Amino acid sequence: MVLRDSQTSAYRGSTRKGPSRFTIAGFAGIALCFMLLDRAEAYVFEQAREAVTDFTAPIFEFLSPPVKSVRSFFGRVGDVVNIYDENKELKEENARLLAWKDAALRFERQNARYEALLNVRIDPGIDYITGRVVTDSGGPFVRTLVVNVGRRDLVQDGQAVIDEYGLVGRIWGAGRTASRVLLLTDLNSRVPILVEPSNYRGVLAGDNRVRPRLEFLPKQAQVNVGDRVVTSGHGGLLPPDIPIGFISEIKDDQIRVQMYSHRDRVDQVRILNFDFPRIVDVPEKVAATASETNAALTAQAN
Amino acid sequence: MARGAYNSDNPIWVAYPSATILVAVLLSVVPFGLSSTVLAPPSFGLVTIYLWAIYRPEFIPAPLVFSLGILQDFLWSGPVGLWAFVYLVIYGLTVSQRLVLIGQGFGFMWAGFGLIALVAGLLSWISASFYYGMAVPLAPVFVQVILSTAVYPLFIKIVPVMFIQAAQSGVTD
Repeated sequence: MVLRDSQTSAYRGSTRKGPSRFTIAGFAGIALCFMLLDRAEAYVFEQAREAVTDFTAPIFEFLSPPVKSVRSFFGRVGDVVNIYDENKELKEENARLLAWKDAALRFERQNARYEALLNVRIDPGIDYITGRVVTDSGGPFVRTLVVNVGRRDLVQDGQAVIDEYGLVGRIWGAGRTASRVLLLTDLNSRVPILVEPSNYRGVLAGDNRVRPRLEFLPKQAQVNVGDRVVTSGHGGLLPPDIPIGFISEIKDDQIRVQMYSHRDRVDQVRILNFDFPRIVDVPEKVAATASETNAALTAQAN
Repeated sequence: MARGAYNSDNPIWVAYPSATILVAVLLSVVPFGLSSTVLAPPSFGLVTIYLWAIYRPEFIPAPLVFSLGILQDFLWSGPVGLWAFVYLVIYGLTVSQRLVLIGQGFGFMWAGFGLIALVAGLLSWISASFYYGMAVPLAPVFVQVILSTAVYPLFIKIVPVMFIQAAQSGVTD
């Protein structure tokens, strides 16, 4: 826009130290270089990322009481709107659950008897660390959370994060005092799963939508809406049998899963300190032979 | 005179615009409990950068916009540099159009911001798609554009009247 003379002279005062186009373009260029660098060598920014997570988590924790009241306000508005439907649903569910309770008690007794009979080795209990969600950190392209526990509390990359309903995601960048959690819905999230009751294996893949997709199910797999989806434990990263959700939609080739955990309700989470049972009992004889062979091979190589 | 009733050399006023952007950027990751319903949070940073690029661009120099953009990237845990890039482009774009926007009515400036938010959204979508090597979902981007535009009126009060007067007297006298 061209200014009149009288305007220019008066205007000059406020833009004396105004930004030059070259500086802006220069820094925009640097930003693009950062993106390329991050794409090519992600580790370059890993430490900075962790530092920012560690440094900002306490700020957000400090902010959390007022934020909680805002959240509970939104929550209450929702509750009031849905109160009748919810009440009806809950009554029905309660009736169903009472029937299930009977069944569960019966199965529990039966199961205990069978385990005693067969001398089953039960999976060792899994330790967990409880943390609070401090930020909902994710712009339009990423689905992550930040929790207020980190390496200091023995949190490690890859550990499963659950809430009281089911799997939320896994640790993706453990800082010293705070860690980022990659949610199941994120573009980069892939989790091996089992579809119950048919026990088909597959992969739950996020695509930034509210409901993630089921992939790599066998061609002949017969799954139905409402089937339960749990972690399979394959690959050893996540413990098996953590509930994830149920199949909510089967359309064309796309199968979508409604998760039990609800991102807006996620407040306290548990991080499972799961150690994949790597050590296999090898019979002594085999082990001895193996070590001999190894020694022979090393000797040969030398 | 371009300088209004306040003393623009006062360090508090010089730091004020950047402080508001910093707070806006931090605010964008606060879990208000609507994330799963709305797909993406509004970009408060964009609103504040737009306002200051119009009223006081010399108080938010490019390196500062860059740093705040990088902070936004780390907080939103996306590609590093994406929002720094978008914020800088938006900053440059708004500064180049500030004489058109300054002194206009609220509605005009709001519409201007709507356009800017749309440009920012598309730019971020293109950058993210290149970064991930695939077309990332577009819906969250539009949600963000709409939300950012919707929260704009809440932010106009962060610019003190004297800043506005000073800026306007520079153009309209």
